[in-house]
Amino acid sequence: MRRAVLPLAILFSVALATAGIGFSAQDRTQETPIVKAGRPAPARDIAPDEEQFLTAVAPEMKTIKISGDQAGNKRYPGVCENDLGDRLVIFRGGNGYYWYSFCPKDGTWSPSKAIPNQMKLEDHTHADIEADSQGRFHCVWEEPDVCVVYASFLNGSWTTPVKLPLPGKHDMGFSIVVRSDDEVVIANATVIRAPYLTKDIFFYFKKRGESTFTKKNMTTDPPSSTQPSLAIDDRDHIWLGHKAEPKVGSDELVIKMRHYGPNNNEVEDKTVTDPEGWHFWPQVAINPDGKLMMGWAHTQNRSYEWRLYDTNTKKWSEVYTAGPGIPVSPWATFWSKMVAHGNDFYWAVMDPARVLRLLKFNEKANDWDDLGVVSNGGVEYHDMYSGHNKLLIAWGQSHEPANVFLTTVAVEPTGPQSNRLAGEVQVGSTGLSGVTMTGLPGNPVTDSSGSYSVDLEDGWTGTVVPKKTNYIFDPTHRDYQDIRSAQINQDYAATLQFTLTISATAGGTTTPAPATYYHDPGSRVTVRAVPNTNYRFIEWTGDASGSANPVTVTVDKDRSIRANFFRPKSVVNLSAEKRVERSFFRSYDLYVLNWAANPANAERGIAVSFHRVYRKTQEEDSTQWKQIAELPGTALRYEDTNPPKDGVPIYAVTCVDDLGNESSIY
Amino acid sequence: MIIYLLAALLAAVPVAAAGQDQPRFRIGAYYEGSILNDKNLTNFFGQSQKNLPGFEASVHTMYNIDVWASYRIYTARTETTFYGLVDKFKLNQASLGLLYRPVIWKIFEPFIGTGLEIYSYSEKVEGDTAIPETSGNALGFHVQAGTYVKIYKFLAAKVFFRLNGVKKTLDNVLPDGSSKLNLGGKEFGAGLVFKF
Repeated sequence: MRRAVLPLAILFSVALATAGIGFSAQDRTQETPIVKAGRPAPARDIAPDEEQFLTAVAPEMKTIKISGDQAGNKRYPGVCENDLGDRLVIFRGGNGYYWYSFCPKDGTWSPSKAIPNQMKLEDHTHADIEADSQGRFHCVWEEPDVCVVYASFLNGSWTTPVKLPLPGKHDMGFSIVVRSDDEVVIANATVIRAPYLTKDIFFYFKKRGESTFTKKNMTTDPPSSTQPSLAIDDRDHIWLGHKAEPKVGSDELVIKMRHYGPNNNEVEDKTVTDPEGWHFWPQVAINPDGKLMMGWAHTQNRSYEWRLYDTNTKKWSEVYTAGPGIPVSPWATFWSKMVAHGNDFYWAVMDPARVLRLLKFNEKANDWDDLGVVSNGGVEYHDMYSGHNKLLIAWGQSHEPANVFLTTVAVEPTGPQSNRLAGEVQVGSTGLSGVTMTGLPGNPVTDSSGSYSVDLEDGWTGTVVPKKTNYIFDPTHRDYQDIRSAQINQDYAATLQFTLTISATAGGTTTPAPATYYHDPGSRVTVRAVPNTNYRFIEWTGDASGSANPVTVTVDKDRSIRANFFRPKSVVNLSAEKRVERSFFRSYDLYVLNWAANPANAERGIAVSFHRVYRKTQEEDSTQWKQIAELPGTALRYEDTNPPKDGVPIYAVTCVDDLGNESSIY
Repeated sequence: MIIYLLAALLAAVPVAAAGQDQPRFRIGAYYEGSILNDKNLTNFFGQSQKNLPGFEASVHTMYNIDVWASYRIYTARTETTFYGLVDKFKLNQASLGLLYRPVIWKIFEPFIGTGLEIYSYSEKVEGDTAIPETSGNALGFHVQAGTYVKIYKFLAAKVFFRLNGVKKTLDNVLPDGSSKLNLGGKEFGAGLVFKF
C-alpha cells in the first residue's frame, strides 16, 4: 500500500516545491555564495546553561549551478571528490539520461553532458558516487522498481554503464563504498517475491580489475529489508543501516544496523529503533574514532532521529530527535544524507518546507547544531560527500524547471579527538572475545565481537601483548612510543592452537626440542626421543605412552608428553675389604670387592650385561679412574690382586646394559 | 750335599786309621725331634716340633775324634692366608763337624761334638698364585752331645741332643713384620749305627 502511493507522493512534492520559493544561481564557474548561512535559529528552546554548547559557527558556503541549460528537469545528483582532489557530479538530465560534470583539482567545472553509451531508462531517483585509491569514480544510479546502473569514470573516460544483475526488481535506495583494496561494494534492495513486499538487501562486489559483479544476499532475515545506507571504516568493515519490516504487512518499520567484517561476515546485527512507528531512510556514518552515527526519519513523530554507537565500547546512546522536523510527505522526501567529515558528523536534511539544512553533531551537547540553510528553496534530492577540506552537497530543486547545484561548505575535517587505542582480535573473520590486551592500562579484554579500546594518556609508551589460552596472535605484540593521537585498527589475527608441551627427563632430548609448541587443532606431530650417551629411552609418559620411538601425537587438545630417559644405575652396597695373601716368605695385599645388583635397573627392565670395575687412589682426582676389570653382569664380587702400592684405593663398579650404556661411576 | 760330606769323610780316613783299634766307620740312621727356633715360621706352619728321619756317617781320625756328618730334611706344609693354596716349605739340613768320644764305659760310649750347619731352604705355593717360589741358603754351627750304646760289636744305638745356630737376614718381610730368619733350633733323637 505504501509503495503504491510513492509516485503520487513524488508528484505532490514536486508540485509543492514548484510553488515554493524562487531561486537563482550564479554561473557554475564562479563559486559565489548564493545562500548566506547565518547563525540558524535553534531547533529547540535553549536554556541559559546550555548556551555554552552552541559552538556551531556558520561556515562559508558557496553554491554553483552544475546542470546546463538543456531542457527538462535535472535532479537526483551524486557527488564525490577523489584523493587527488578531482570532483565529479552526476545527475539525471532532462532527457532521461544521466549526465555528468567534472572538475579537476583547482580547475573549473566542465560543461555537463550525458554519460556515453548508457541505456535509456524511464525514471531515476537516486545516485551515489565513491572514489577508489586510483582516483577512479564509481557511480551508480537507479530506476526504481527496475534496475541499478553502474559505470566508472577516470581521466575523462567512462566505462560502459551496466545493469547490476539483480535477482528481481530493484527497490528504492542503494549505497556504494570502496574498500582499501579498491573493491567496490554496492548495496541495493531487491524485491525477491511478488508483488513487492519481500525485499532483501544484496551486496554486489567487484574487485579492482574485474568487470563483473558478484552478489550476496545480506538480509535474509527479517523478511523485508530495504533502503540501505553504507559506511566503511578504516579497517574495511562495512556498516549497513537499512529499513526493515519484521513482519510483512505489519505496521512496524524499524531501522537496523548490521556490521560486516572484511570478509563480509556479519559481526553485529541490531535493531536500533523502537518498533512503534514508521522509520524511513536510515543514514549511517562512522568516524576515525570508531563512533558510528545513525539517523533516520520518524514519520509519526514528524522528526529526524539519531542514535550514536561507540564501536569500541559497543555502547549505544539513546534515541534522540534532531533537526527541524521532516517534510510532510512523501517518503522519498524523507531522504537525508549523513557523512563523517573527519571526526565530525554532518547531516543534510530537508525541513518541513523541503529547505535543505546542514546539521553538525555537537558531541558535548549531545545534539545537532543547525549550521544553516543550503538551499533557499525546496529540494527534491541531494547527496553529500566529505571532501578534503570541504563538504560537497549536490542537490536538485524540487520546483520546475529543476536544476542541479553544488554547494561547498568550508569546514576542515577534524582528526581523532583522543588517544584512543582500539582494534579487533579476530579468528579468521570472527571476533574473538576474552583476549586480554596485556600492557595496556587496565589490561582490557576484548568483548564479544573481539573489539577492545582504551583511552591513553598523552605520551603513553608501552608494549601490548594479546593473550588468551590456546591462541597465538599475529602480530605477537605491538610497541607504542609517546602516543599522542588515536591509534585505531590495532588489530590482531588470532589462531586457535593447542599446545603440545614436550619435556624430557635428564639424559636426553627430543626432536623437536623440549618446549611448548602451538599446533593447529587435530595436527599430528611426530616426536622423537634422543638419548644422550649412556642413556636409553625408556618410555613416554603424559599424553603418550609406550616405548615406541618416535611417537605420533594428535593435538586435539592441549597435550603434554614426556620422554623418560634412564641411565643404568651402578651397583649398590659396594664394599672393599683389604686382605693379605701370603706364604711364609712372600705376601701381597688385595682388595675384595662385594656389591649387590641395583634394583632400579631391574625395575626398568634393564639387563646388566657387564660390570666394569674402576679404581683410583684417594689422592687422585675424578679424571683418573682406571678400569681394571670387566666382569659378567651376574658377578657380585671382585678381588683386586694388584692394588696400588701407594695410596688408598677407591673402587667403583658400573653396570653396562645390552646397548652398551654404562652407569655413572658416581 | 751328601756326596760332599762322604767325600770329606773319605779324605780323612788315611789320617785317622793309623794306630787305632776301633771301628773306622760308622753309618747310621736316626729319628729325631726337631724344634726350630723361629717361632715366626713354626707358628705360620703350625708346628712347634717336627719329627723327621736323619742320616749320618762318621770316620775315626785320631785320639777318639771322628769327623762326623749328617743330613735330614725338615718339611712343613700349610695354606696361604687368603686363597688357602698349598704352601710347602722345605729345609735341607746338612751338618759337618767333629765328635770326640773320650771314654767307653761298659756299653756306653758318650760323645760331644761341634761343627757347621749348612742349610738350604725353599717355599713353594702350588696353584695359580702371584706368590713366587722362594729359596735360599743359610750357614750356622752346632754343638751336640750324646752316647753310643753298644748292642753288638758292629751295631750300636745312639741318642743325642744338638743345638743349632743358623740365622739369616732377608730382604722381604716375614709374617711378624721382621726380616730375621732364625733356622736354628734343637734336635734330639735316637738311632742305630753300624760300625765297621
